Parts: sequence; structure tokens; C-alpha cells
Amino acid sequence: MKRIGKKGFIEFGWIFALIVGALILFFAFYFIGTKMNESKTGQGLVAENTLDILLNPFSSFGGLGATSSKEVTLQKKERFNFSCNLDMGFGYDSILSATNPGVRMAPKKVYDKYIFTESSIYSKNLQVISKPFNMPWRVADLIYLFSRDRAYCFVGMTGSTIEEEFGAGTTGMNISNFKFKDTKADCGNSITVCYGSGCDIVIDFEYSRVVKGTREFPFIDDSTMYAAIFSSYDIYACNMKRVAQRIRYETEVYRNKARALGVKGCSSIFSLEALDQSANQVINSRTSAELASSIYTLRAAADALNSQNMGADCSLY
Amino acid sequence: MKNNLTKLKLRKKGQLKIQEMAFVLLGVIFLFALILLFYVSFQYRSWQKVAVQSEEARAITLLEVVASMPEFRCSSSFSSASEAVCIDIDKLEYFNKTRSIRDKYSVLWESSQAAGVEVQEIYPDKKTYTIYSKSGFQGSSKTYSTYSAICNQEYGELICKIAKIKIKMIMPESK
Repeated sequence: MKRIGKKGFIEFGWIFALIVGALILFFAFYFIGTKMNESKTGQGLVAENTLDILLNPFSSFGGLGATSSKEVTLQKKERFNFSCNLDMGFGYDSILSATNPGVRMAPKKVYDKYIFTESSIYSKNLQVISKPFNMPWRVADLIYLFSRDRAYCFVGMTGSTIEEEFGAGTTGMNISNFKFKDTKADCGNSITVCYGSGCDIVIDFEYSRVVKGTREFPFIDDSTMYAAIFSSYDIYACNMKRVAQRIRYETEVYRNKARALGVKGCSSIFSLEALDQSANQVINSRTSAELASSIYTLRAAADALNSQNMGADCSLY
Repeated sequence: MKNNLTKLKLRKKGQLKIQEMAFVLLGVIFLFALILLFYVSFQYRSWQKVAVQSEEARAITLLEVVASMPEFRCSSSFSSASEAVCIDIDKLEYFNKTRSIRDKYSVLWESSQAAGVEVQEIYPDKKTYTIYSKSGFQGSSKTYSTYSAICNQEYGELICKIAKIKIKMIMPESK
């Protein structure tokens, strides 16, 4: 054996080569491991940012289109976790890429969009729909985001505004994973939506609410009704508060606008205070009952302001 | 005596071998360092390119967003169309002179990586309305702009001017 010297010691060259070889291997594995982790983090960040950018055209508040939809196909199946926060004035929606559970990701905070969705989506194919929220002016465009792998079956809604808007008719957007059937039996495994009872999602126009299991989502117009259908309760309630905050900020701008119109000789009076106060009640609501009553009050305040605006000598909005 | 000479020769031979190995190792380390540097700079450039493209896409969308935000947009009653495509001077003026409202909206612009947003009249006047300005910002930036009509709602009349919406975007290098 050449490795063993005359006196039985291992030769210096071999010890040296073993140590250096081990070091090189260690650094190589360390480098590859770190790079793989970084690469996964990078992919996650790209996924979060891509989703944010893909949703951008839908946040252009007050764009000319009334309701719009888009099918978004990602490069691969991704898991996104969504949450909503009320901090820092505007509040924000968080998009967190959770495709690689072992990789620690920072969520993408989205301040300029109101994303109504489930708390987690795992899909390659996403459907995005946006609809303006008018309260009373066009406050923002609400974004509904869901997986195209989930089919929604609207039972007994043939000829309704929902079918007109989303169905395959001439005015509809022809959303591929929406079905309109006469009976629940025709729906198969789809999530069923109907007016009466016995469906997964029930729309109750009498009490202006959407019922999912034991949860009740109060709505005040079509845009909030769709928001209730496609989102989880926490995200719905939080985003309604964020929208109310937006109304408060916009009310401040319109209050000044009303003053400017007054200086120019317009005599109309607009009750912006009532709108501001009811929006504040929505923000401060703590229970679902409080949220419901406050958003109905907001609707009433917006209706009253709308009547004043229609009859004004100089329209405010 | 002969034994000592042999020992000396062996020692010298051993030292030479150690030196050889040390040089080879230095060479290997240098080679690895070069490969690593090349890889890092390649990765950095490709990420930077993606970041710049993403900033440009964001800037273009932002220009559209500013023109259509209810905070700035003309009232629908300004024209016969349901949505008038113009910016309301009264609203701009309010943002320009009121720091508190600018501060409230600053989080929107900051999250979009904007360092400044302004509307500049180009005809007939030259007045500039500041919507947002990131305080103390001196980093690298790029300004994107688009043309828009800005209008004043007089009693029963609409007086419009031509203006430029300018958005100063923070470029990735300066972050």
C-alpha cells in the first residue's frame, strides 16, 4: 500500500488531498443547496409578481369597460395563499406563493387592488373577472379570482342577469367553467349556486345576502354579490372594509370638489358627510351582523347622494 | 554522511511536491472563483433585465390608472358619454395644494415603485400639479409619460387643456 509510509504513517499528500477534497465537496454541495433554495424563492417571487401584473389591467379604476374577464394560464400549477389586511390606511391584499412548502416566502402586498377570492388556490388555470363598484360614484373595480378547475353551476338562473353577464349568450362573457342548468341534478360535481335553498351557495335577494353553509355574506349590489360568491368570508369582510376606506378618501376629494363648484356658482348641496360616516361604520364593524347593517346604511347614503347629484345644477360626479 | 544526503534529498523532493500541490490547489480555487463570478454576474443581469421589464410594464399600467382613478377623473356629467376621458383640474389642484391627501395616497405609489407622479400642462399654460413626490429620493429613476386632457368644470361649460401625465419610476439598481 503506497498510502502507508515506511513508519506506518499515512503520507502527508493523502491527508492533504482528503481534507481539501472534503472541503471542495462541502462547498460544492453548500453552493448547490443554497442556489436551489434561492431558485425556488425566485420562482415564487416571480409567480407572485406575475399574478399581480396580470391583475393590473383590472385595477385601472374607471376604465371604459363595465365588466371584464380574462383567462390567466400560468407556466405551471401554482399554489397561492391569499389574505387581506387593514393596516396602513388603504389596507392590502397579500399574495403568497406556497408551491414549495419548505421555502420561506415573503408575501406580495397589493395595495391598489381588491381581490375577492378563496384563501388558497392551487391551479395552473385561473379565471379573473372584474366589475366596477359604484357607491355612488365608481369607487374601484372589484376583482374576482378563482381556479378554472372549479366549475360553478347556476341552477334555475336561465335568463337572469347573471346568465346575461357570464353565460354564452351574445352579451355574455362565456366563462368556460360556468354552467347554467334548470335542475341541481344536471350539475354533477360542480359547486351549485341557486336562489332558493339546498345549493352550496344560496343567493337570498329578500335579505340581500349570500349564504354559504353557516356563513352569511351581506351584499348591496351585483358587484358585491359576485364578490360574496367567489370569496371566503374573511377576505370578503376585510376587502369590504378596504373599499369603505377608499370611499372615505374619495369623499374627501369630492368634498373639496363640491366646494370648488360652490365657488363657481353652483348652489347644490351634497350630503357627503352621511356617506363618510356610514363608510366609517363599515370599517369599524366587528361582527357579521354589524357589517351587514353598516353596508346597508352605506347603500342608503349612496342612494341619497345619487338623488342629489341627479337633481343638482352642477353634477358632482 | 550518505544517509544524511539521502534524507536531505527526500526532504527537498517532499517540499517540491507540497509546493506543486499548493499551486494546483490555488489554480483550482481560482478556476472555481472565476466560474462562480461568471455565474453570479449572469444571474444578476438576467434578474435585472426581468426587473426592468417588470418596472416598464408597471409604469405603463400606472399611467392608465392615474388617468382613470376616480380621485382624478372628470365627472361623467362632464360629457355626454357615460365615462369622460379627462382629468379634473379641481381634483388635481386639491392634491397639489394638500399635503395630507398626498400622504394618504403615498402608499399606493410607493408600492408601485414610483418616485413621483405629476401632471404638467403643456398648452396653453405650463403649470405642474404634483400628485406624489417621494421625499429625499435621489436614486436612479426613469420617467414615463402620456398625454391627457385636463378640464375645468365651469358653470355649464367645460374648459380643457392639454397635459402630460409623468410618472418617475425607481429603477432596480438604486434599491
